[in-house]
Formats: sequence, C-alpha cells, structure tokens
Amino acid sequence: MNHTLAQWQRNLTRMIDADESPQHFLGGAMTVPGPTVEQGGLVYRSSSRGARAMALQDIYPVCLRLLGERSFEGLAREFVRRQPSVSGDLNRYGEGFADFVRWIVDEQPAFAGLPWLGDLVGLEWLCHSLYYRDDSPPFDPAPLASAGAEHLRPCPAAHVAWMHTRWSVHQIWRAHADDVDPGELRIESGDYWLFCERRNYRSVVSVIDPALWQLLDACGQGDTLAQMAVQEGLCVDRLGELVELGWIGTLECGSDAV
Amino acid sequence: MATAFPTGERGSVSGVGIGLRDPHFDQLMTEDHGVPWLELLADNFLARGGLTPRQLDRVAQRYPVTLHCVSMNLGGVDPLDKAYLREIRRIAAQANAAWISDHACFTAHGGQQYHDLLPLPYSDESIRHIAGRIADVQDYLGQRIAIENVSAYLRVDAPLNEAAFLAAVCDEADCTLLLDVNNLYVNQVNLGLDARQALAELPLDRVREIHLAGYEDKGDYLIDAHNSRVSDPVWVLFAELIQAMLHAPVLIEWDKDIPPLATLLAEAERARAIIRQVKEAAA
Ligand SMILES: [Fe+2]
Repeated sequence: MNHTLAQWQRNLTRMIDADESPQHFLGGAMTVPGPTVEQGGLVYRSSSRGARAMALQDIYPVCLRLLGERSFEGLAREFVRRQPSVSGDLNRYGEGFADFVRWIVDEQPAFAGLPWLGDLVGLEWLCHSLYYRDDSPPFDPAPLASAGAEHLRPCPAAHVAWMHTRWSVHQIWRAHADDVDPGELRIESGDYWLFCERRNYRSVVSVIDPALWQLLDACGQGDTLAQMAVQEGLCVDRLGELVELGWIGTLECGSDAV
Repeated sequence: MATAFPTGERGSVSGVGIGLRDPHFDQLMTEDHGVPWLELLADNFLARGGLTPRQLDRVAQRYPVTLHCVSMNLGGVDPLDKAYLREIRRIAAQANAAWISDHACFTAHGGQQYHDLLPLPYSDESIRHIAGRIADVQDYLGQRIAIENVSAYLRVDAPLNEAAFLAAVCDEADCTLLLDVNNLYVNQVNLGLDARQALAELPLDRVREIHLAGYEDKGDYLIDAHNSRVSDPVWVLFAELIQAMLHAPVLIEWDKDIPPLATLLAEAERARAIIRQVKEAAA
C-alpha cells in the first residue's frame, strides 16, 4: 500500500495518541529486518509520551519527591495520555497538571489524604513558568501625565505571579528548595496569599499581606485605576508600594471597556 | 530557483566539537578543555527573559557555535510555525551561529507536537514537500540550513531508499546535509538499509557537519538513544566517511544519562585520533 504523506502522518500520530496495538494504524509500514511494526510503533509511542512525561518530572520536582517515582509516573502517564502538547517548547507543557491532580484527588481514594496536592502542583507551575518569562522593562510613569484614571491600567511585571491557597503548600515548596525533605513537614490549613517572584534568576515564594495581594490581583485582572478606586475594600492608595517593589511592570493606556 | 545566500558573515567552526548540555555548562564556561566549538539545542534557548539569554551570551562570547533545532517540522503537513522560526532567527543572530540545522522528519501534526523525530515515506511526494518547506525556511532565515538524517523504527512502503531521498531533498532545496553516522548505522540494522552504500549515494559535497552518538541495543533493533559512547561499527563507518571529507566539523552528541564532561572529551579525542590516522594514511 502506498501512503500519501498526509495519510501517513495522520496514521502515525493517531497511533501515538491511541492505546490500541500499533498494527491497527500502521498497515502500510514495513520493517525488515529490525523491529516488528508493533515494536517500531511502540518505540515512537513511548518516546513521544516519554518526552512529555519527562517534562512533567522536570517541572514538578516537589510533587515527584513527595509521591515517589512510581506514583508520580502513574499520574504523569495518565495526564500525557489525555493532554496533547501544543508547543514545540516543552517548558510550556503541563500547565493543566494542577487541575488534573485536583480531579484525581477528588476521584481516587488513594489520594484522598492529599487535598492540598493540586495547589502544590499549581504553585510549582507558577514558579516554573516565572523562570521562562520575559524581562520587564523599567517602570515608566509617563502615561500618568497624559491619561486619566479611567484609561490607565497598571499591569503586573512579567516576573511575578500570585495565588491563593487554603494549605501551607509554600512551606513544602521552600523545604524542597532548601533541600529539606518536604515529607517531614505538616501541612497547615488556613488562608495563604502567596506571591512568587523571579529574583536573581530564581523563583522565590512568600506569603504577603492579603490587601496587597488583592490589589495585585486587581491589576492582573486588567482593571483601570478608576475601576479600582470604586472597588470596596481595595486599598488603591498602596499602588505606589507595588510600583516600588517592582511588581508593576507597565502602565497601559486604553478605554475601560474590558 | 534557489535563493543565493550570503556567506562569510557568520561565525565558523572546525574540528571536533561537543553538544552543550546543562550539567557541563559551568565547567565549559570557566575552564579550558580545548573544545573548539559547541552545538546548542535551540529549543533550550527559546526563553527571552531571565537567565537563558544571558547564558546564550556567555556561550557565544567564549565559543563558536552552531544551532540545532528539533521543532521546525520540516516534513510536516501542518503550516510552518513562523513564531518558532522567528525565535530561531533571533537566537542564531544573538549567538552568531555558524549555521542552523534541523531534521528530515516531521514532529507535529494536526496542531499537536509529538517531541520526536517521526519518519517520512521516502517518496517523490515527500521530497517535493519537504524541499519546498526547507526553501521557505531558508528564505525566512536568510541562510542555507543543514538537514540531518534521522534514525527510524518503521519504514513506509515507498519507492526510494534513504540516501536517494536525502540526495534529492538536498538538491531540490539547495540545502546542506548534517550527516549523522550513528543514524545511518541504526537504519542499517533497523530497516536493512546498507550504510556503506548510503555513503556512496549521499551528496558528500553537501555535508556541512557530521554527528556521532551512541545507540541502545534492544536485541532485535537499535534505539538512537544518545545515552552511551559511540559504538565500534559507527567508528568504522566514520573512518570511511572522513576519507572523503577530512575537514568536515564533527560533533559528539549525548542527551540522556549524561556522563562527566571528561567522557565526552574522550569521545571527541577518539574522533580526532581517527581523523589524524586517516590524514596520515592519505599523506
Ligand atoms: Fe544527530
């Protein structure tokens, strides 16, 4: 059988994505004298999926350390099976792993004792993605002189991120960063307003004042200064503090119809 | 008609280099090991912020480099990824890369990336398709690129052999060849392609770089694992190949289970010794 190029590519990639025998997809392939079509197909399937699973190991070292290799590999294998990669850059793969883990924790009794695991994975993703973000240009206050509050949006700097969690997952993350066994730590429950920053090319995680966190979050939502000013409980007067900390990257001008 | 590209502006490389891998970065940036050039995996340098662009500057200040890519998807039927190519052009300019290379394969389909070097049928349709895309990429990058032969574990029923396929692609796209000797040998074992015969059929005048790497023996077949020393049959093929090209730059590749730098340096030294022997015999 002669394959057209497009047919061949469709068949081979379907085979990689599927769980059935490669024979089912690769009728026109031949292998003489090396691997059988079954073996050859499985080489490609495991190599492609393995590259993605390996990326997850690199991105989520704390989760890997806590769960152990076998358990993590099982999770990663299942995630990879469901989640295609859409960027050639493997550092961008695995953003949805936190939601997947939260779902697994809800579904699988074996994970029932780890209700905080999804948030830990989410924190690891933030810290990982910060490493690869663009550099922020120095803050330029010039737009303040030429535009009104209804047009100005303070945008968080590229090298910062934030999340809220009900578990002290940051302590586990920090313990791992300091090479302390995170398995020794007790997870506390509470309200934790986490702030992540790339500092000296490394990710740093801290707990910040909730008022400052909410202000940063409002900036992240794309709110204008005018919109922020009328939000109840939002301490807009502390914006200067965010700028001084280097957490605001730019002041963007535009209408307030977000 | 193929575009004529300017030459001589970019950095140049010669001798036996090694592929730069993370665990060796500090050593190679602070110590002199007599490594004449480095090949950079372009996909490791895509980040525009943070440490990555600074590391790229450090490498480029110290070594001549080439840029090796894995995601151009040259043989794919999906549209070319212009955003990726833009980044490659930026990185190549920043590092003053002597040349850019990628593989004669496809890596993405239907908008999904497979992160593997997937084989093409050795057919006229594939030749026309990949050659056209290589020409487009070369126009975009403003330079000729080098195309690497890949290891394969399946062969599609198609009329040509690998060497004839690559020769036709190079000719039609007017690109150069990155000849991976290990991949030739792996395909001899896996697909029954005669590596020695391939050396006779390939357009050796287009070879811009030679790759050497180790495979993993699975018993019935070989995997291009890049996780071990170059094997003896590959050294033998290499010695035959360089009789025709004594001055081609050679690269030692090692991607998994990365050993101490000294192991890679020893492999590079072995390649140099073989080149010296062939030179002496020729003299
Ligand atoms: Fe190679």
